[in-house]
This record gives sequence, structure tokens and C-alpha cells, in this order.
Amino acid sequence: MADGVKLEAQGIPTATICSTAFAGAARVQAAGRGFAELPIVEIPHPMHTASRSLIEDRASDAASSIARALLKGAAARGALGEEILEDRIELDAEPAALQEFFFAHGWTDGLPVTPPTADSVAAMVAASGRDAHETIGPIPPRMRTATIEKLAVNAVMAGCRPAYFPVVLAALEAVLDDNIRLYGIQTATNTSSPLIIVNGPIVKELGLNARGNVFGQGNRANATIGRALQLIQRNVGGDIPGETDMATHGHAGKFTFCIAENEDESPWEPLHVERGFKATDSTVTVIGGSSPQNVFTYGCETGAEILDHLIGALTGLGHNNIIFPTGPLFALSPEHAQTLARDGYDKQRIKQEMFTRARIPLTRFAARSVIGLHHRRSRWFEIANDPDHIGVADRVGDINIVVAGGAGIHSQFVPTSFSYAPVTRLIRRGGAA
Amino acid sequence: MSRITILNPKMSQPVAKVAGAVRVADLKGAVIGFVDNSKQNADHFIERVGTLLREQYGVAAGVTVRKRAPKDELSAPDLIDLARCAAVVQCYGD
Repeated sequence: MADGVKLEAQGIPTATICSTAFAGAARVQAAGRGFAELPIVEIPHPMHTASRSLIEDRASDAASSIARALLKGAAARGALGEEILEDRIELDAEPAALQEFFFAHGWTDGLPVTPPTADSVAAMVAASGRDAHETIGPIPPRMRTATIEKLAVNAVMAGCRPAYFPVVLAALEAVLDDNIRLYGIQTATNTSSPLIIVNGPIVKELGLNARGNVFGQGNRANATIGRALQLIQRNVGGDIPGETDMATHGHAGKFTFCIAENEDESPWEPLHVERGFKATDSTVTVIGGSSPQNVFTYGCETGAEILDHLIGALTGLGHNNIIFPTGPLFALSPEHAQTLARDGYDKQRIKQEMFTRARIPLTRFAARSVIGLHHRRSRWFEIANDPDHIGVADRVGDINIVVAGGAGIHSQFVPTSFSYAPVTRLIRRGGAA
Repeated sequence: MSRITILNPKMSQPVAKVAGAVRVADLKGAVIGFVDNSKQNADHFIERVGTLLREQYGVAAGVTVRKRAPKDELSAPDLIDLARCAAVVQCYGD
């Protein structure tokens, strides 16, 4: 939709074709960019799996509507407006009634939230060391710029302690970097959500979990920092499932998706140091990520055997890193990392072997898929000198490895998507915790 | 029952309105460009629509640009190419 609005702003009339399932989302997204009247021509869904003859029939049916949309006198249809309440609202303090109010007005992710009182929000702002009226944005998909105070309201609701708020703000600033492509992550059918990886001394200071169940439940800091970023996207950015978030399935990381690196048990330098920061810096690194896929190395005793399994996970069909040039992310368990290190593998060697060996023969794909890969992954075909395979990253350096988790012979392959590259930001800590 | 004052997590923000382009007065002879966002079958859809617009409305074929990925924004060179067209059809959200 962004392209259509941009073209219209340049004085070029457009007609945007959308299948029925996505037309509403398109109108909301166009409204967020200032042109709710973007002419949209609806066609039946689906198109991706439709036969060639059906595609041609639908094109024939749509041609007159397309012509009308381009001509003078075209009727415009705007997006529906949103309910907006006052900034401060007085309510019955009875807990159940409060939660019902929050649910009824669409303020939550489906779980109860902490009521954001003036005092709790002020404490959150104070912990950031930033002015309450300072702004961050624009936040997609509706491209809104929010004050620190407004962001703090959402952090309170997520259940954050004030000391967590600088991490939330750093993560937000990171996901707004153009390399993350947040708008794409939010609005696509693909299963993707920004993953937050925290490094540095702040991990212990805040009690973030870097060990067992690191992607799971049970730790307040991980759970609420990730949740705050999601609530900000919802309540400030206007990212609403079924309206702008068109994920076919979604995943649990759309509630919260925040881990810390287990630097103590890693045999290698941590992610933020690898990315140019000091070990004493506290940082967040973000990237668009799908649900982690478990790699269970049953029976493997050596680094080489473990690596075979990790590469095996990359060479199945259908994961995002075949289509997206983003490069996969691995969260290796300490046991795996230490075994690999014992047997002579450092991160660079692991990445090199993944890059060299995790290649899928094009003969495994349908003809149209191969055509698509040559387009979507054109950089691979330009630089890899391997015309018969598709790799899972265009360049060795696009593969990322962190050490996270507890005891056990499991690691996580996190297929990534949309982001052009991970983004790392220093956590600015200014206020009292 | 006691009362509590809470702060609203949502926000309303006026968006700078974009004035839509003046529509085309007559499609006959108008150069129409296309954006193929690389979704599956968008190329076939555009091919058919382009043919019909030429046959039934007399439009002239303009450039078709193909994005690397659907969620990528149009590049500056693509925008320059499309700016030479009288109107643009973009395909598609699916």
C-alpha cells in the first residue's frame, strides 16, 4: 500500500489489486499513510494457488473495475475510523470490571494487563531517564509517533518493572530501523515477529533468563519486555490481527519474543561483541523471526555430528530462509556450543560450514518456485557461483549464532524473515530503577 | 466502589493527508505502468489485464517493474520509470 500512496502523492493515479481477504487491511494501511481513499480493486481469494485459467478469468473480470479506478469520477472508499477515548479515563476500580473494560476496548493481547495509573506510568518514565514528551516513531503500520509517556503506559500494562523500560525503548528503536522491515513483519501472512536478544551486564541486573526454557514462560523480565514491544505495536502502531496483521497462523512470539544470550556458558564471544560493541555494553539485537524449530541431536557425541543435524534442519523445504535472503539464526544450547568448541569449531567455522553445506538442489522445487527463487534470491545466484542449488543465506556473514538455553542436547533454528539484517542498539540507561 | 484513573495506551494522531492524484480523463492512448510485487501469479494477472486494457480501452503499454519481494518498497529508479506513466496498476495484495 505504501507504494500506491507514494505514487498518488506524486500525482500518478493508481489502481491497487487486492484479494477480498486483504482489501480491508490494505485500506487501513493506506489510511495510516494519509490516503484512506486509495483506489482498491478487489478480486477473489486465493490467487497464489489459483490455476492459470482462473487467474486469467479473474483478470478479465477485474479489467473494467481497474479502468474505472483510473478514470475521473472514480468513487473513493475510505477506511473505517477507530474509537478513540480520552487520554485519562476514570473507571470503577473493581479488578474484574477493569479487565473487562480493557478487553472491550481492544487494549490487550488477549491476556489481562496491569492497570496503567498515573503513578505507575510516571515511575516507568523516570526509569528511562528520558523526557515524558520525547517522541519515538513513526511506528507502523499506522505510522504513529508516540511520546515516552504513551510508550510507558504500554510497558506498565505489559507488567514491566520500571527498570525494564530502557530495554523496551532500545528494542523499539531497533525495530524501527529500516533494516528490520517492521511493516512487512506486522502485515504479512507469514509467521513472523521481532525477536529481541539481550546482551551484556543488564541481563543479570534485570534477572533476564538466558538459560533453561529461554524461549518459554516463567521469567518476568523476558515475558514483559517482549510483551511491551507487542502492546506498543498494537496500541500505538495500530497493528491489529485481522485488520492489519494478516498472519495465516501467527505464533507464540507475537505475545512475547525476548531472550538473553547465555554469555557465561558460551565458549565464544557474545553476539553484541561480534557486532562491534564492548562486552561491558548492554544491548538489544532484533530481527524478524518465526517460531523456533527444535534441533534434537539424539545420539550425537561430537561437534561434527551436531553440526550435521543443524545443517539438516536447514535443508528441509518450506522454511523462510529459503525464500528470504535474511540469513538464519541459531540459538545453540551451551552443551552443543561447548561440544562444537571442544572439537575445534568456532562461530565462523560453523557459519562457513552451514553456508557451504546447507544448499538445496533446485530439482527439489516446482518449476514456478525455481523461477521465484531466481527473482527473490537473485543475489544468491549472482554471488554464490552455484546455479544448481539454493543456499540458506546469500553470504556467510548473514548467518547468526547465539548461545542460549539450559542443559540438554537441543538447539533452536529460528527461521528469519523480512529483515534485511539484524539491528543492535545500545540500551540507554539514565534513570533510577 | 472506589474509582481509579488510568491512562489510555492508544493514541489518535492526525495523519498528513495525501491528496490523491487527478484521475485520467481518457484511457485511450494513456500509458499505463504496472507493478508486479512478485507474488505468485501476479505476472500472469498483469499480462492478461494489460492485454485487456489495450484491447478494450486503447491504453498504451508502459513499463512493468517487478519488486524483489512483496513487502519491499519501490526503488527510486522504479519510481522514476513509473512517473513516466499516466497511471499505474499494482498487483497485488493476496
